[in-house]
Amino acid sequence: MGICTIEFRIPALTTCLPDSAQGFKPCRQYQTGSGIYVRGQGAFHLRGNCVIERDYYYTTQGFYTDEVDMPDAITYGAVAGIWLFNNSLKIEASFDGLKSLGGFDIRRQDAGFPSNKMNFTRVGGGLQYYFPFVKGFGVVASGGYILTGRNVGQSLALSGGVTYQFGIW
Amino acid sequence: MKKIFPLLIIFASALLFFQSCEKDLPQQLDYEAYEFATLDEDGGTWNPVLLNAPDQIGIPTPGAITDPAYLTELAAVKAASAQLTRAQDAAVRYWSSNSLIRWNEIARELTAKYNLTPAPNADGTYPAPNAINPGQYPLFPFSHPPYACRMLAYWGGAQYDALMVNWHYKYQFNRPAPYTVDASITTHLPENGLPSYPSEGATIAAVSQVILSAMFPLEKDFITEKAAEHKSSLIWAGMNVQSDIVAGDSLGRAVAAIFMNRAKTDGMANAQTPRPISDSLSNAAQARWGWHWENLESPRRPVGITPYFGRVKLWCVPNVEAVRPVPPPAPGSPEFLTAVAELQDIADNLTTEQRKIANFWADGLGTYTPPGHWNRFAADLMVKYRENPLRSARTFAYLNMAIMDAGISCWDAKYYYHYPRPAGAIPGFKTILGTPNFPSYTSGHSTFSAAAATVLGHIFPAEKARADAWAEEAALSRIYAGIHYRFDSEVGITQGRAVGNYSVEVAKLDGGE
Repeated sequence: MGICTIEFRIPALTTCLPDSAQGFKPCRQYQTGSGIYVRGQGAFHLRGNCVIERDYYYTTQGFYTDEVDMPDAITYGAVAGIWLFNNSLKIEASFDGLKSLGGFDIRRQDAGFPSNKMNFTRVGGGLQYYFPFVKGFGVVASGGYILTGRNVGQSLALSGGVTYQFGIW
Repeated sequence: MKKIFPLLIIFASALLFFQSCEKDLPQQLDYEAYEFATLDEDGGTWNPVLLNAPDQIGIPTPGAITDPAYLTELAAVKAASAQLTRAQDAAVRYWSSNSLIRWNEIARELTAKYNLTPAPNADGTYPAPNAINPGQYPLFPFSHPPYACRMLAYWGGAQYDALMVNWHYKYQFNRPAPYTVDASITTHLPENGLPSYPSEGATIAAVSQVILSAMFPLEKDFITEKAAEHKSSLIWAGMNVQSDIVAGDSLGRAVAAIFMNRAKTDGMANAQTPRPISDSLSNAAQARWGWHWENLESPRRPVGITPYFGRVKLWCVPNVEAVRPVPPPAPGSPEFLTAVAELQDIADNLTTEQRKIANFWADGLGTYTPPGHWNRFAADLMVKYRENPLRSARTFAYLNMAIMDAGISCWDAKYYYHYPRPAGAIPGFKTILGTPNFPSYTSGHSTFSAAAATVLGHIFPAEKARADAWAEEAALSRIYAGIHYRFDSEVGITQGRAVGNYSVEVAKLDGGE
């Protein structure tokens, strides 16, 4: 049997202010109003077994199989942001997290393992800016910092990039 | 609302489907209790490993089966085995007909649990486990391959001698089993026809308790609890009366003590040398050969794993020089450059199959090590060929003495030749597994595996081709992983076979062929 993992994602809160009737693109559509938006998300991950390339491993006890029982998990998150300067600059702040409903801790000097109990909470933020002089061109930057974690390293991740949006039809 | 109902049903059934595919994962060898292929009634006359003769260990003459004391014990067995609780039934099924398999699994599991390398101190130095204070970090032991192979050799050898003593008295006293004396006794394991005094199960439990408690001192309570359950299960199963168990237990302890006495003076206490000795080995190699190995971790580990393991007392090989391989090709020589070119080619073009082989045989930190891997193969074969406990102990004894001799011989070569690892000798070289903390030549996996395959091939001739193929694959896996040159593995295979043949020669003359 291979990997069987299914996930149920429940949009816990999708409130886009003031106009949420724009489907997947509300964040670009706040032409009216103050341009403030918030978004929430929650998911339950029902995980099956994964397969590794050896048929014995030790977690808190030995297993004689290449299958690993993966802990189920919950992810959650919230985002608040605002579009400024005639929708050319987006600034947002986020908070999200992962909570494993099982699994085991990495022992000192042991290697990480797929079924470790991984938990974290993270704060982040992002910027997106569209240049007014070239249509579709923009830059993005985002960052996230792991606030608390279990079997997850405390870290700061930063990313940046250039975007170009164009129509296909 | 009408649309939500079918959706909920689909959701619920998907949940059930995926939950049901998560079957329980196996935590032990799943086997049905079996009848033994042979009883080996002459087992008490075979040649022991350390004992001079089986009757060197004495046990009381058992009371006759007509004695009131015996009849009281028999009634207790009858009452206990008539109706088992769920937990008692589970214990009987767990320990089953050949409890050596379970104790071997426990030994392997403890090996995996304690196979963690010490973390560095804040100042960049490294602490070492201390047998005097095992609970202080780093916990004692660090069950690396040399530790594991030695533990298994003492466990297997002691089981073999103890069961030889056990068989000697079984057929000297010929006390019939409880179910033979009273046919109305309910049994929960195959009625194997062995005389029941002394109990072979109790001997196995006692030997395991003494050896494993000494080797894993922090697990003493866990091991004691297991041994107590094991001995109780023999009564629940209707296989032994209490005096069978007491006698089996006492002889097991006596034999295990003899093995632990050897262990105290076998040289292992000095194997993890202090830094000056370790440095002197490195300097000697530099002077003699013009090269030396260095640990590449950060901070650098000042001493490799057990530099003096090559000086530990051997079981079946007369001395390490008898099986010491020829010197490896000098770094920079044509033969060396060919091996390096192969490693670079593999690293650049690693196939999925090669990666799988490297991972399958990795047996690194947090695992039961290569010696544990070969014990697992042996346990599978014991069930397949329905070996009785004495014969299984013989298999474990020769297998693990050969594996330990292979480890000693390999470690002798490693620190005598002190050969650099590929990661140290090839600039910018990347490996897919971590490079172990000891010199390269020869490959431990190859030497352990060839010795093990040689013994298993002798004991189970029909499995020889399969065992040899496993050993070859284990040897190749280290080349695929980038942590050994081909000559490390190939010479290791030859060396391991030579070591294994010494054990086979002893086995051929021990009376148990």
